[in-house]
Amino acid sequence: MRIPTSGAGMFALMGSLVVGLAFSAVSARAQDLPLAQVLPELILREITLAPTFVGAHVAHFSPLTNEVNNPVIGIVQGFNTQMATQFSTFPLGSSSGGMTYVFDESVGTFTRGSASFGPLFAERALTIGRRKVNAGFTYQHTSYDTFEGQPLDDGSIKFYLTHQDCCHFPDPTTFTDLVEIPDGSRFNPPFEGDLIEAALSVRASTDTMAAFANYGVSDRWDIGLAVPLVSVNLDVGVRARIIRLSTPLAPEVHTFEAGNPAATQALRRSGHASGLGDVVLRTKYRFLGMAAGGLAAAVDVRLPTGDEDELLGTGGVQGKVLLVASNEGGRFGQHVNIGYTVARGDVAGTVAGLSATSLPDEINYSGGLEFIASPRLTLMGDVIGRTLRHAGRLAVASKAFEYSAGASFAGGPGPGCAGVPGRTCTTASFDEFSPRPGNLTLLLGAGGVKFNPVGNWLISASVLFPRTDAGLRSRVTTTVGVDYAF
Amino acid sequence: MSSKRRHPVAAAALMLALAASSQNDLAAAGMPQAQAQAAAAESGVRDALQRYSAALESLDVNAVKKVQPSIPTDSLAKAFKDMRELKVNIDDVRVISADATTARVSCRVTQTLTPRVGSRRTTAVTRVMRLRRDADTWVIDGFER
Repeated sequence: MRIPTSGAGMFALMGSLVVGLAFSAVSARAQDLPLAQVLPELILREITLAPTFVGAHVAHFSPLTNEVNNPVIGIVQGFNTQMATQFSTFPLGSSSGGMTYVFDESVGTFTRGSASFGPLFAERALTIGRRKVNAGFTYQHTSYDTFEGQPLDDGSIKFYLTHQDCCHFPDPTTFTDLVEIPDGSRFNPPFEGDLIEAALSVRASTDTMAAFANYGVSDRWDIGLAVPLVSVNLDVGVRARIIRLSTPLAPEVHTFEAGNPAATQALRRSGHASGLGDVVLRTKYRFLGMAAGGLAAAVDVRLPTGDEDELLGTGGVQGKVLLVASNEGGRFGQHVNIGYTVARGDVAGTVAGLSATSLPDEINYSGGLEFIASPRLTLMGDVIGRTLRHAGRLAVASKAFEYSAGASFAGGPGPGCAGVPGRTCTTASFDEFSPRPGNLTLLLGAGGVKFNPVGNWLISASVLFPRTDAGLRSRVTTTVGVDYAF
Repeated sequence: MSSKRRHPVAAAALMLALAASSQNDLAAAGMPQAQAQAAAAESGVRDALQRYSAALESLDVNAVKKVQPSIPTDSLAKAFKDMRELKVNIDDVRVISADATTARVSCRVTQTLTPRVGSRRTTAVTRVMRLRRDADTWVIDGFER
């Protein structure tokens, strides 16, 4: 095999390698359900009761089985799709090459394009130079800890499943001739007022190995691609307990274990998927050059090559246009990026029967500083902001659930609650996520180093940490990378 | 076939012989003044390029400034700071025009840089320079490309 010596040849070789690597990485999963469906299935279908003498209450708290218009489905779907969106759109490293020497006609010799090795996740205006190639790999580990400020893995996040509005007694005073037609309330029959509290425990992590290559078409114009290979681990646990609002004196009606009304139910599903993520095609054009800086326009196109059902990709096409400004003076470099991402496609994790959630457009903004500690070492810090337009938020709010309280099914003077003598129509309130329209703003801080050990090799290491409680958060995301400039 | 191949070589030899003969004739007859100036300029220009090449290799801003007074010294000093070694070779020198005080020259500048950070790289650029006579020496006035 002939090894190419030109930049274009090297870029073609690197491109072929990363694309070949990517497409040989068939997505694989180790469970019967797609990862994007694990959480809704567990909460909305798999919590079932023990059969009792009262009747077939087994799936009466399983809205996916019996009541697809139950509002809790929308809440769980909102949670699930936000997780899916943020899993697959976590920022990859920047395309800014770290080591650029250009022939400067004004001095008649080479000058180093920049003494800084460039930002971590943002872009800078500097391009890598005509016929130059830089290529490498980054590895990123993200372990998610909180969602909207709530710990993910300790059962703090709770969903409340109402009993199916299964039926009613035409004459509530007699409790006879049950009609299996909903009456629009959880008062009749009274046992419909019970709830199941599903306390969620999620351990979720992603490992992303991204191969990238950039080529300088001219001194002002770069093209490139990034090919992520993604591995997702998801472990979802639910501890369900019956909140016996209506049946404290008839606990056998709803129970997870015959003869043991205090029993709870613990369910767990774990899954793993790995494969090609969403391939990113990149280009950057520096339209205003200044010493070690200037203004540039960049476009990233994120292709839906990752399997969205396995949380490996977004499930849509995203096109990001970015205006990049950067400068360097003394031992400091600065960079600012402002952009907009247009998205087309639907997010994975939609629950069967509900309309799909569209992948949100994004407003992108980032900025940061680079400190040139030595010619071989650059320290940098970035702030990376993304506003997911109309993605909605889930905020914890007190939610009232109606039920019929009373001593028993019968007795006492009428008319009582919904015609049931001796009972009182009332509500109980619990804290639960509640959908709220609006934008979701995710703000990350990043700090790291880029180090040149020898030749044209560059090693980078960084940490990303969230600056807000919004959405899905990872306390710390670590990224390491290596790249080489040809 | 082989005899045909020899023809261009023979033709070139003939041309060279004719050219040498005509130059000798001109010298004997006394060169026109313009041609004599060009010949003198070419010698001075080649010397200037030699000094320019050596100055760049020395990574000494002052030495370069002596050959190219107009060079932006701050930028050059910054460039030299990032260099460990610079090898410069200037060839394909062609005097485009010359008189007693100015000259335009095309040449190929090949530079091999060993930077302090990064690996060695070579670039060859064909440049057109303007030179002027400054007292007894020629200096680079600027680059056209």
